[in-house]
Amino acid sequence: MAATLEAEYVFGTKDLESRANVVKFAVVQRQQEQGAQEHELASFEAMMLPHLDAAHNLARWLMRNEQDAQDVVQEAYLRAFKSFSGFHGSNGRAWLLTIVRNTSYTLLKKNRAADLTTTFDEEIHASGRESVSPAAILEHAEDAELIKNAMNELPTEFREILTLRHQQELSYQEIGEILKIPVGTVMSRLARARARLREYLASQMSQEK
Amino acid sequence: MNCEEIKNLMDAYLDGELDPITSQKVEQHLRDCPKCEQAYEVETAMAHLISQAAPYYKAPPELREGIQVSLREAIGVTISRGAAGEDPLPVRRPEAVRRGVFFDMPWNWLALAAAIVLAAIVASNFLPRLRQPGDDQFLATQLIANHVRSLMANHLTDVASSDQHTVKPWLDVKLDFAAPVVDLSGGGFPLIGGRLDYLDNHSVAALVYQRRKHFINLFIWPTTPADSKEQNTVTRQGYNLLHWIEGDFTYWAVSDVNITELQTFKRSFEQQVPPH
Repeated sequence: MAATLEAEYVFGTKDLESRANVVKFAVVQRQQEQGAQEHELASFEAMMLPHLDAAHNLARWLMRNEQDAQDVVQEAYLRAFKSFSGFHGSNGRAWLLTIVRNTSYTLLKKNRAADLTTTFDEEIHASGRESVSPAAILEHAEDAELIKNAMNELPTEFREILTLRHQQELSYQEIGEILKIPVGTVMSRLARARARLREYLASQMSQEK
Repeated sequence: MNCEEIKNLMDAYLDGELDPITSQKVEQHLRDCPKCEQAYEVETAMAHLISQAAPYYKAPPELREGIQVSLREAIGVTISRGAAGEDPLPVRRPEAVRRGVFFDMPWNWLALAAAIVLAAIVASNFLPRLRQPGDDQFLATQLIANHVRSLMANHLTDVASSDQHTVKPWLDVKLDFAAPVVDLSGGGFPLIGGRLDYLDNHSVAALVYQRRKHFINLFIWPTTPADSKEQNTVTRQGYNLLHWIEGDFTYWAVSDVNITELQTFKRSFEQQVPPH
């Protein structure tokens, strides 16, 4: 797995000059190198560790499993550190979440190809229709279990967009950057995701009765 | 705008992602069309539900440690484990993650806030003579400055209490009017406390509410002939202001939450305040 990761992330500087730097780096005294790396690590941690909860939350929703989520986050931080010298942006959180997401997908594709292709069963879940009132929805405001199950039933692309918007409170712009889709697509996908969730809740609520 | 267009824009409206003009059109339509209003309420409830009820999975402490160890291994720092009570991580630890508005602000936010305060000071010294045309704009600057100052100077509240029956008497004693004070926890805007503030040459009441990690300052004073009679919204430097008049009082809500949430805030405030 490590090999594919590097191919994806450690390219940043492939021009001749940076190759020269890499060579130069190898001949510098080892101690100096160590000092520079520790310095880099300190600034990386100061910038990226504050987003650990956000990274873990996203991975947890994508993987739907605590152990996998932790593996993903650990791997993502290593990837991020390796390409940290190429990061010059100001939005560290969005950058880190992009890497967390890519790492999650790598693992999902490898382990459970089925997860990514699962299509939502319209037959079962569309039964509730749209006939659900705001009051009925809010009645379930405390029902974390219900929401969790409903979210976990959604396809991966809907789960991730809902958590990025509603839990991380990212803007459409930031979400678009992370998912690599235009802002217009963010808007429509978010609308579809909420609609799906609403239908699912409606069907659950009607079963209760 | 017809209902079909509204349906397509509703999510972006809810998320505060529309430009002010389109946003205003949607708002207008929602006021006039009960069917869309109903659909919008369902959407709002859904959004509220997801952000409130869906579990947020915080990282366990051992994950943080695991990451720090593996990062050090990656650069070849040897880690001596074992000696009881010793810090297993020889390279200096990053500062603990502190939660709260004051520590989450990036430096450029603070710079912006400082610039606004400075602008307000300059404006208050040089602008009074020119005030006729831009009264509202001038007031907006003052309101934002007061809002920002309340967050910066560690002086958010004079009386910190979520109990309206504590905040109200406190304010009543300090002011020459009795401002309405209500807790809006039910609507998702818990009351944090009250503060005495000074605006436009008179003392005003400032109620502080919280919306998730954001704060809303609600400034209240008795309406004077100079106060604008129309409800309006102002967006400036990333802050949103919502103004309305109800009974004898003029209200200005100031926050960095989006205009849609401020509208919701206003609605739940009005529901709680006994009508005149």
